[in-house]
Amino acid sequence: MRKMGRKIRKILRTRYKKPKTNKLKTSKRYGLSREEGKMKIEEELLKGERIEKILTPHPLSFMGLQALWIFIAVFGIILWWTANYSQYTSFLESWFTVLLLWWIGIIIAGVVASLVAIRWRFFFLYVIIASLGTFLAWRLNYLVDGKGASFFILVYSLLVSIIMFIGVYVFVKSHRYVLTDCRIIFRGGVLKKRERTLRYDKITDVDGTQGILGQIFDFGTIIPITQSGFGLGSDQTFAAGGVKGGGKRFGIFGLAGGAKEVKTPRARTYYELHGVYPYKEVRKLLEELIQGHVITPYQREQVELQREQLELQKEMKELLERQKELKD
Amino acid sequence: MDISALDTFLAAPLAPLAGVILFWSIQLLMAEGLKTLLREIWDNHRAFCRFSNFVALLFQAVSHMLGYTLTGIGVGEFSLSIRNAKVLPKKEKRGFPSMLANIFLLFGPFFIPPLILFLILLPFTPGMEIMKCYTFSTALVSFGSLLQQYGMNFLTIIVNLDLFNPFHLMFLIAVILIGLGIRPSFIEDEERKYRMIDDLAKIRDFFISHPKSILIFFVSIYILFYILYFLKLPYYVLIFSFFGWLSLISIVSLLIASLFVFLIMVSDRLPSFKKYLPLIVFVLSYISLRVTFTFIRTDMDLAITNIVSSSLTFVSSTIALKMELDRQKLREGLQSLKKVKEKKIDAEDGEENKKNP
Repeated sequence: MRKMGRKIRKILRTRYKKPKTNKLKTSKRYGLSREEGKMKIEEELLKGERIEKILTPHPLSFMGLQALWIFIAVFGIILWWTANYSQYTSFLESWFTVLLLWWIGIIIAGVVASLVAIRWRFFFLYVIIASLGTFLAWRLNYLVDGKGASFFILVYSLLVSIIMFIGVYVFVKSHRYVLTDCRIIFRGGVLKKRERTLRYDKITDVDGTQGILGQIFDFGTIIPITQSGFGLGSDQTFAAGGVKGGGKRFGIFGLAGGAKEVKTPRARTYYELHGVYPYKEVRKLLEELIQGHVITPYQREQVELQREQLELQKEMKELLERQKELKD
Repeated sequence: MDISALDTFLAAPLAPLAGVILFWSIQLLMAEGLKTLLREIWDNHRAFCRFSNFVALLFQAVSHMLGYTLTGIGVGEFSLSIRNAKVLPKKEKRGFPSMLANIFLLFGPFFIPPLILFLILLPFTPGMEIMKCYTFSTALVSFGSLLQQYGMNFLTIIVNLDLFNPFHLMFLIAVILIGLGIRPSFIEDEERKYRMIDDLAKIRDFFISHPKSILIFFVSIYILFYILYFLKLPYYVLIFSFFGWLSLISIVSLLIASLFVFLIMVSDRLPSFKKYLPLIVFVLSYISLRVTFTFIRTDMDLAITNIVSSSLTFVSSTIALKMELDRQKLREGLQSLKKVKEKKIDAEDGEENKKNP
């Protein structure tokens, strides 16, 4: 009986953890805790200024950057597997073929990434990674056969991916957006610190973007656009064509081209509310804060008041006239 | 008139159609099962469920787009989000193209996702033997035979997937995605569940509003059958078998996706470290079996590894879930017993207080 009682007590003591319910989470999940954030920022606030929300980007909002290290890791694994276990092992027996294939993959990915992001720095980053890998493989004597080279590429790719992942993580975490009752403070930068503040009364337009991942994970990017054009970028297209005719006696050369520019909401991740979570809640708060600083409602109220005063004066005038008539 | 002639000219064309309807019904039931499981994990895995909904909406939108494009109606407006998919026609739908487009819209989402897998596997599909069939029973047997031949090949590929092979792993992910993408489970905009009955109601409404379509459909399949019969071409059953194959691919994809979602659900319901049980059992059993088979060489090593590790994971997860549910029930029973006892003691105390104030 005593044993049974102990068992029952033990069962009663063990608490069943309920499955997590997906409540609307606040920014705490992806940034500093409210207290930590407040402590740091409160010192720099203006007199009477109040923090409404402290935000950081959702990690998945930088999927473009994350894809850089994911590709390196996945490509390294696939190459290693293909050189060792697939039906193409005989084709990849030489270290030169493996290395060539790796270089081709890296270069193509670098070009694609650079074209997508319109930044050549990704291409150069990939070239540096491949060059360093080749140098290390040569120095450490891994360039003997296909298997050795593929093993080195696997280990090197994984190491580089981990380093890149840490870099991206630090970059993501360096962003901090503070929404106070009178301005937005944008902060960021890993080595070089950047900061910008934007007053609500200067914001003329608010642009919001939510990609497929953003829709799934409930984050999005909000770009506040100011009268001065802060938050606006431009897309440029250029087309050109040329004709060349040549011979011994005469030659023709002509070139025709044209460019187009379209203004579009765009800002650096430090100067926009990049990948903020939960998107709809943040956007509503921002719209409310902007609305609170718009002068038009106060002006409208003033006009209403003046109209009422005018009507009262008219009534009084009429009353006075009637009184005068009655006296006469 | 001879009865066999009646069988050939009236009943035989319907045999493969009956087979397709049967397999499509099984596909519908499997899809409903998966959707129910997805709704079970909706609160805990909202992002995953949204993603599965998005895949389903994407396939739906693609089906609609194909329907409008192939019938010459054209696509006027296209929008796709995780909440809704909208494809509007360019011209006003009328007549036969409209009917054809509607059939595409109704049945396309069931057959277009597996078509992707079918096309991926096309290079690995061997030639098939087609039986000549001139009666209802032989047509049905021929349909079954074609389905069996394709099914065996498809299942052999699925069962022999090597999870250490990155390409096989990608194929498995594609299979799961196709399974998840057959019809959405929840419409977030309208905040309502999406059930199999909604699809059936849409099909019913279409046939009620277009009664001629049924007649046209049957006339066209009879004409097709007679043409191929008189030309002595045995392709009539093959045409219907194609839809049977697609249904079969869907059923297998739905089964694998259901197992995947079931394991997520079990993991959610198990407390503390036990929630990793399905994952641990699968990984450990798979790796240990693969290691064992490096010493014992057989042709069936991959098949045995996949089947045994999946079964082991499923059985162990089910047992763990049942044990946890039993524990919960016992706990609830004890708690209610405790409450009854406390009430009894309170009542006794109250009576004693009344007696001796």
